[in-house]
Amino acid sequence: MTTVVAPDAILAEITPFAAPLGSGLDTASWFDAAHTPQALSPIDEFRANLAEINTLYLQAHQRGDYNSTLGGLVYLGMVSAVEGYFRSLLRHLILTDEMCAENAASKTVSYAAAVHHRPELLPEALLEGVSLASTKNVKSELNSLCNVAQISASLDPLFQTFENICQIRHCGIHRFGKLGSQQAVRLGLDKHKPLLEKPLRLTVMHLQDIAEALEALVRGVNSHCFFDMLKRSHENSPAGKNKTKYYSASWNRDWAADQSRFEKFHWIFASTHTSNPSKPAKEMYEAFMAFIAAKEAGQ
Amino acid sequence: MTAISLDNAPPLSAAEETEVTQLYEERAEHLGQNIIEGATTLTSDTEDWISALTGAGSKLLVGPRGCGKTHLMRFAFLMCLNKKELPFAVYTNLNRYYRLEPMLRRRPDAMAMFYYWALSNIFVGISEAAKQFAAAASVQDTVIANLLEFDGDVVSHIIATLEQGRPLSPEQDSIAARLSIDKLKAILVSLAEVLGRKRIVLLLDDAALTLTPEYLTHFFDIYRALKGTRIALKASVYPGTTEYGPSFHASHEAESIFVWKSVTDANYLDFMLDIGNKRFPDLVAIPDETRALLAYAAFGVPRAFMTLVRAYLKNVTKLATPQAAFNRTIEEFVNERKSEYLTLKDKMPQFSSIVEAGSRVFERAADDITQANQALIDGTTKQLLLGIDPASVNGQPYVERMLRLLEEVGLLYKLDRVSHGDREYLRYVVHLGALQFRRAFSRKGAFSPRFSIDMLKRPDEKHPVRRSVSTLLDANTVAALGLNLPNCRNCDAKRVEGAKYCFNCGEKLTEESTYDRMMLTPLINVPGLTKWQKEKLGKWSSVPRTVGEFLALQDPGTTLRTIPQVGKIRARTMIDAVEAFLDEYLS
Repeated sequence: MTTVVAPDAILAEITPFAAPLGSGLDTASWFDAAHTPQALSPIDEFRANLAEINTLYLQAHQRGDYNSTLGGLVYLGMVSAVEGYFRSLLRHLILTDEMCAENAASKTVSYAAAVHHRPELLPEALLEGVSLASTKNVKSELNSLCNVAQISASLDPLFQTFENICQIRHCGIHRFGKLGSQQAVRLGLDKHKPLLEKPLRLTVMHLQDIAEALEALVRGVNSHCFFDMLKRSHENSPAGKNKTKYYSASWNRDWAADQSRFEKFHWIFASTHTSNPSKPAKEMYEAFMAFIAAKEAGQ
Repeated sequence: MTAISLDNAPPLSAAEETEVTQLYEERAEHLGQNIIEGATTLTSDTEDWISALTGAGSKLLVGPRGCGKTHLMRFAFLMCLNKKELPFAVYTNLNRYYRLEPMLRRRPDAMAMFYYWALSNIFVGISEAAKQFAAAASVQDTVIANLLEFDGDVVSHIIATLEQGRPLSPEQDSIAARLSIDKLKAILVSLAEVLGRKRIVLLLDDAALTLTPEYLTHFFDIYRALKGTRIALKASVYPGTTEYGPSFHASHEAESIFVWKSVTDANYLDFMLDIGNKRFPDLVAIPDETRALLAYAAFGVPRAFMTLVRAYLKNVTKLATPQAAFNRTIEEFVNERKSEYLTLKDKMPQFSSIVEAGSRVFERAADDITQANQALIDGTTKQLLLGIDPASVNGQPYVERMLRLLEEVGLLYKLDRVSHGDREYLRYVVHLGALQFRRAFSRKGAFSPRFSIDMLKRPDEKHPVRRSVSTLLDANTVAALGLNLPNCRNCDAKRVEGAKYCFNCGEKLTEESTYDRMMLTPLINVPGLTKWQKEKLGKWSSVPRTVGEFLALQDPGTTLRTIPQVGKIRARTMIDAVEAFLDEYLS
């Protein structure tokens, strides 16, 4: 006689687990609906996010609670903070800068975004399909939206480090930290071949190095982008020497007349946090005017 | 360093002004090529050192400030220029690196800027050398210009832009980015070919970059990458430097050539006196024994010997007896050495308590060695050596650093290359100036240079004065040694050593720029200015208050000449003093 094996004997025994409550989770409740976006500039938003992540592992380390699983999660958070910065920067530029708005005009957003987003958030939808956790994508978005075709070569080493950090992030997201072959190839097989399928083991010092490398990239791009776009706002304006006029108005070269326009632009790039604040708008404006004057004297 | 004896002098006569000007000529950078050739002593040591510079293989030229590294490099360069069988030589001085130090604290892409700056400097060196070698080999300028590919003036302009902390123009940026290590190597090889030289040596002077270990690490990456089968790299550094970075292992990558003459060498006196005779004709005016004692007090550093001789000649005209003049000279000199050492506290505030402790170790060691010599005064030997128990040093990074800083400024001379017995002790020679100041080699109450010289010529005691760090310092101080780190600027939480971010608020822990801080130095505190000059500078309101404001002047000469009695020469000496201060202090 054959005994009939109840399905339970298999299904309930191989990976038993208590049924979760309810039939589905209310994902809507996971978000903070009451949140009103703080008036933080992209760089300050990044700084705040990074600082929060930093205290997480640094304080765990102080308590003796740090382990490399926490390290792996922190790592993902850090790269996410960088991505968030780039999104926020591009969004603000599209909203504020004439040239960026023009460049964005021909791009398409999803129907849902077009219908449901508030106008000031609409630019965010433009970048929804793009991952900004890669050097290539960051550079190409900076190029197509801000016409920053050739960001200074001096940033290349920082971008290279960023790229390596992003490659390893793949392993963190998709393979719980184990090194995959594609990433090993991109990071350099000679050094990484013996590490295939080995897990990430980040120490607190590693994480600080990574945070520093990411912050260096973000601050470096922020400074260069600010300088590049300022230059362009003059050179590609009616008063400027370049033929293509992206800007309909020239700088008046008078603080009272330029203040409002300059401050809006300055705000996007400036950090007001006490830890390492940017120079005030007026001082930067004066430096900008001095730069234009020196340029013209040189020509 | 400058002779502080000049400080107390009455207002300068025109002749004295000229003398002060000459004082700065003691730095080899300021000497003309013909003077170098005429005055560089070729003792057997120097010959070995020069051939290390002109020969194959990577070398690190190691010695404290003033011991003649620049001289040797410039001499090696001229040898190469004049002898066809020697390599194509390129001389580059990196002492202005400190201008890029503020950038390191404020620009995330500072490393790339430093890279541009270093390669641009090397390129300018190549370009200048190529012209000199071409003239000697009758190669046409156009041929050289073609091979160089870049315009020397344009590249010099990139250097100036970076040193002023201004942004590179897009054109400069793209030139700088093209000026790669591989490009430089290719240019060097093709130039050597045309100039008929088989090999190339790159003489990279003042490469210690003491203020910026970050740049130093990066520099040695460049050093490593520039090496080639036909290209040999030579860099000059200070003793005690070990922070060459993770990818540069000094012992594997390059041979260290110690160019600091040890007072324990048998031919020490001949070596120093020979240099003195050639570079300083007035030396004959000083009695033999005194001259020899001053040579010993210089502790292997020719520039210090020059300073001592000048100061002695000046003091002898002012003071009643040669004994008083000698004592005054040694005292001033030793004080100057000590204050030079203590400036490390300002340069590297994180090490200030380590520097402080080092100063106590040094004083104690000098006292102990003096006592040992006093005990031997009627004997047949002398004692110059301090032996430190390695168990009290090894594995204790702060203690190691403390001793290395004393070596760096030349207060301790480490004897680690030759060892006969006594292997287990770390052996140091304590600065002889400090020992002479304590009358280590004199009978109590008597002044006899003859006796001191005879004693210094005695054979050494068999064993050094043995101490452990905890007897030179007290055990509590040793245990408490640590870095002086400022609290987090954002939340004032105490810093964790080695941390980059604050554990409390998560913000970046930032460093202050030493250069920026230096710029706040009041002008009247600049060493090397005479008392008279300081007084005038302090009183006159048209002259800026700080070094930074002074350097920012378009034409400092004109501003200084608004002070009554300051003419061209006095203005020049004051400007030189400020510049010498920056070079000495920051290089």
